[in-house]
Amino acid sequence: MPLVAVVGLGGLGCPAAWALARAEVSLRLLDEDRVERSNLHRQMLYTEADVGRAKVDAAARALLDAGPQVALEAMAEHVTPDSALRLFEGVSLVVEGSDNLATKFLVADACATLGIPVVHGACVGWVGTVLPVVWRAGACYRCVFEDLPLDDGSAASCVTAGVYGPVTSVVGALMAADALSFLAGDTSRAGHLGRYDGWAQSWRSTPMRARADCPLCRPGAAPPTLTPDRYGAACGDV
Amino acid sequence: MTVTVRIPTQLRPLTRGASEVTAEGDTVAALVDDLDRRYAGLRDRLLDARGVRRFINLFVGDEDVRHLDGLATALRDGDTVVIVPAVAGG
Repeated sequence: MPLVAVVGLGGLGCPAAWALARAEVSLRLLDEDRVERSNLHRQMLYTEADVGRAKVDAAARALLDAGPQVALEAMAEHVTPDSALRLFEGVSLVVEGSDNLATKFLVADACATLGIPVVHGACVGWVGTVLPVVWRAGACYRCVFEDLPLDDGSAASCVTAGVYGPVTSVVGALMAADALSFLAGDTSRAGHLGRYDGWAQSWRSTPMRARADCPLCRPGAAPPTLTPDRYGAACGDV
Repeated sequence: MTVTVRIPTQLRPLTRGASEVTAEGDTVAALVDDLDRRYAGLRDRLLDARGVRRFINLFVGDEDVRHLDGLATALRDGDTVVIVPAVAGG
């Protein structure tokens, strides 16, 4: 039975975990946060009674209540440069729905180091993106986005612009769909950047090319060094 | 050349909330110049001294301009340019 790590049990991780658990995929749930009332409009695994509880515990309870007896590992930890490789040990795939860019790049680097596929997802406003990545089979996260924004005031992508709850549920489900495809052996969507616009009701999937000078996956590139200074510059500490 | 430009959520404060605008330019560089004339500050959010900012993607149709001719990529009348920044959130 494959084991999938879900990074971030927020608006994306909740629906992704729900769909994967219903497909009887074993999950390692990773998030250090506790449920806040402001989460409830989009984080579908939690109820009012969960406010204040560790997200991983509340999520695990909801997933088990939903039915299938999947193996769940609830780990109330953030993925950090020091912990990433340990937290991903033994997993077949990572679903990454974290809420900061530093963690996204860190997860991309850790998955590359371990050679495991990862499905990245993100949402802002009415728009969400999905990027499923298989190591050296098409574009990786750094092929597409290269590196963190510099801390020069240009980091528009770090601005919290709010997010519409239903959009995260759609994008989280799309992330789970890609994860299930990978687990079934179909990697044909690897390296495709999907963009969902909930306002326009549109979905567009664009095959991205691996970047010849990608710092992560170009032939001959040295394995990334997972050190805090590589991730903490723009969006706060990991 | 009149080109349609799709604006991501984070940059809409600069376009007075518009999710889609039109601008003129024979190349991506000229288009960005015209965008900046119409919506002050947009150039700096898209480009730095090196070219397209490293966490920004500019697509002409379905193709990332980095895989075309970069800022010199030619535009045709009626093209659509899509700005896709790295985002976090969910």
